[in-house]
Amino acid sequence: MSTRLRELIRKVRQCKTAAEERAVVAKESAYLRDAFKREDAGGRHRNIAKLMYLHMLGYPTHFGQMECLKLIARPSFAEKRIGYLGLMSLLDEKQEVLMLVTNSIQQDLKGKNQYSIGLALCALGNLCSAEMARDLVVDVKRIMRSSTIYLKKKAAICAVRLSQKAPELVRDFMDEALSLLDERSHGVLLGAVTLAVELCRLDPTLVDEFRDKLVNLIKMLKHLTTSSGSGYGSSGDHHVRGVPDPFLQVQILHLLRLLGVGSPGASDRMSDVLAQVASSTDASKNAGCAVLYECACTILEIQSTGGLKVLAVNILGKLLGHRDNNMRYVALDALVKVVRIDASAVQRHKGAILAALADGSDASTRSKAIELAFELVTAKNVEDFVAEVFNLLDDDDPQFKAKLVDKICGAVEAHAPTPTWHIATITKVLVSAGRHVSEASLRSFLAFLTRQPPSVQEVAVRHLADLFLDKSGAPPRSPQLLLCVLWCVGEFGALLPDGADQVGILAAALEGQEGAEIAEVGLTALAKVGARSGAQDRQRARDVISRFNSSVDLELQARSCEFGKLFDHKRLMPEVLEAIPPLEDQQEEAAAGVPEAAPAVPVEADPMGDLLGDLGTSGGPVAAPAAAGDLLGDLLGGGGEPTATAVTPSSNPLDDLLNL
Amino acid sequence: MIEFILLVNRQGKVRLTRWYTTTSQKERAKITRQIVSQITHRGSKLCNVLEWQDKKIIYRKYASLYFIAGVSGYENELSILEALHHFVESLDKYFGNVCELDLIYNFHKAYFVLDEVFLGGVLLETSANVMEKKLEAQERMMDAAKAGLIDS
Repeated sequence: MSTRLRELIRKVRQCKTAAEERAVVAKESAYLRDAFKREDAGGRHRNIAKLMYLHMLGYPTHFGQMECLKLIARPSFAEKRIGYLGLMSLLDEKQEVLMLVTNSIQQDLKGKNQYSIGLALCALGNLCSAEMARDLVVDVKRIMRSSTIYLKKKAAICAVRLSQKAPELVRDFMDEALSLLDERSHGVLLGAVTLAVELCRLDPTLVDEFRDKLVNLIKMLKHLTTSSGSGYGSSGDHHVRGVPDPFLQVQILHLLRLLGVGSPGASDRMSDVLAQVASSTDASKNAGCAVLYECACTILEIQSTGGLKVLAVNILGKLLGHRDNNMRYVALDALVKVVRIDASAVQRHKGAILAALADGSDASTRSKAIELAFELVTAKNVEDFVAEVFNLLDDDDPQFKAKLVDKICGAVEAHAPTPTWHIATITKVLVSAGRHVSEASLRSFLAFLTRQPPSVQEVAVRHLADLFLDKSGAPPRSPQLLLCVLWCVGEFGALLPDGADQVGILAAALEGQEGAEIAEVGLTALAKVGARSGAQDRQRARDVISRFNSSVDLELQARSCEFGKLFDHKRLMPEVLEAIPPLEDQQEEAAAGVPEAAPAVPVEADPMGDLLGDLGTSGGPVAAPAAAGDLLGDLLGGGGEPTATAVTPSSNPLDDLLNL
Repeated sequence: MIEFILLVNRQGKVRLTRWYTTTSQKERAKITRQIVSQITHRGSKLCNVLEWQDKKIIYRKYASLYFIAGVSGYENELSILEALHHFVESLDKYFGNVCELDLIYNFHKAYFVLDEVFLGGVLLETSANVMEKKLEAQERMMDAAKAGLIDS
């Protein structure tokens, strides 16, 4: 028995559980299938409406598609309207049914009734495929030339869609597109300008032809800004809270932008009207801001004069200071583009940008602000700037924190005035937000240290060692900070004051560390410290290393056993465990680029291999610089990476050693 | 261009959807779910633009309903917000103080309004008065057709 749509909706809404709802829907679906099979022509439009409702609830409705087609072919407007509506909701252009629709749409496009034609245009615009576009282009062009405003505007927008789907049709629409720009009705003009923008975008060579209409466009925009819109359609009707047709203004400004880019003449001719829009539009409401924003974007992209550009940046500054977050968002978005061309103009709005950055409530504006803010960093202001953003590291949002840390590290690296400041700042970051320091940032910091003179390295290692000697304010020990301390003591520990207990620091840092990555670096550091210490410290280092002899981690176990053996060869140790040579940036990057997934190879294989190879050939340089580059990669990369040197024959003696 | 328009309530129930790109039913449901879960958690004072995958999600909340547009490529975000508002005003004018129940029981009419405001993801008509007239005329034709007075 047939129920009315209203009843169906009510029934579904009365369901208390999902199971109840499914039962109601299943029953109705069964009824609808049956009705479609029975060819129940009378109830067809009601059935399609019900089907749309089920579709909206997320239930399968594919069985009704053919019914929509049958409805569309009916002469009655009521059935046609529901049929088209069902079609637009239930179909997408992938389905074969679409091929069958083309014919019906064409019939309706050729019809007499403007509303039937309107429905067909609407369906065409929403469902259009490339094939449909080619089949129906003639009909759409004909309607664009018709005398009915209602149809002209719909056809213009259909043309936008047709040319998107089948770009080869772009030129076909040129005559109609140009003549529609002479219209007076706002609705048609909006469609015409939108079409012009789209055609220029799809085929930039058409811009020249549209430039002929520049005078019209400028006149149109002038009318919109100065008068209440008289002369272009009914006045007042298109106002949005006091702003004359902001939608049309925005589209015209967009088109002007496309026409002005690359043409000094066109840019010059439109500069007056742009200045006028910029100065006379009310910025208190969203509609006015939309126009101002578009205007600023146009000024910044065309070849405008310096004065006009300043005006545009000022508009964006004004939007930036708006209390509505949406204005701030678009202003930040636009300024990101400006800052790359002219950073000094944006520099004046630094305060507002930092305020947006500090405002943690809105992730959208914040992500824009962080991008923009760090574009403003120069060697001159980097110290103040970093100090200002430093307190933001206390933020709760981990994603933001990671991004901020990354940006700070990048800015410090690029603009640090002195190495000491560089070290102090990065250490501070490691202490307060170490967990968020990326591997790449840490690598480049350590590579930076290797390139410094011993005096600077001394500062760094002292600074880091102090963090562990100072028990009073035990800092949160992030893995990144530990890694950094271990590595620096291992490499530069010799620069610490005489009394410093290097092995003690390392042992303390390794205390309770489960992570293999940190322990791996720690073992190497211990071996290096052991190699250059007296007998007592060497034994202590060896004891700490031997704790890992029974580690469950294969890599750690192998390493600790290998180092243990190495400790028996006192004469060789200092040579094998020499300090790392200065690392170039690129080298370090290349090491970072080595893919991680690889069979585990003992990391220390290279120096050991070299060692034993050297043993055979007696003497010679130990640890070539290239291998040292890999060493750092290995130290920080954790998982063993097969390197060129690891597979050289010289690794065979290593195996012999371990099989002793 | 606008790739889709969604109208959902606070609980995530879909009240109206229109997709202007080829998207499978499954994909549509997935996107809707993801967007709704993100948007319903945002405070009212926050910015109405959300960057999501390669799109921008621009939305506005009216009472318990979210009006959402998914936009790709260059679009003036503020203008899209204004267009959404224009759509809401059109619904309001058509139904007379529109509320969620109107949209539930007369969803097909809400679609008629939508299709007069947007076509193929592009803003079509910006005058509420023009639109009202056109909708009324079509309404009359519907009634007449139902009464069997005129065909075509």
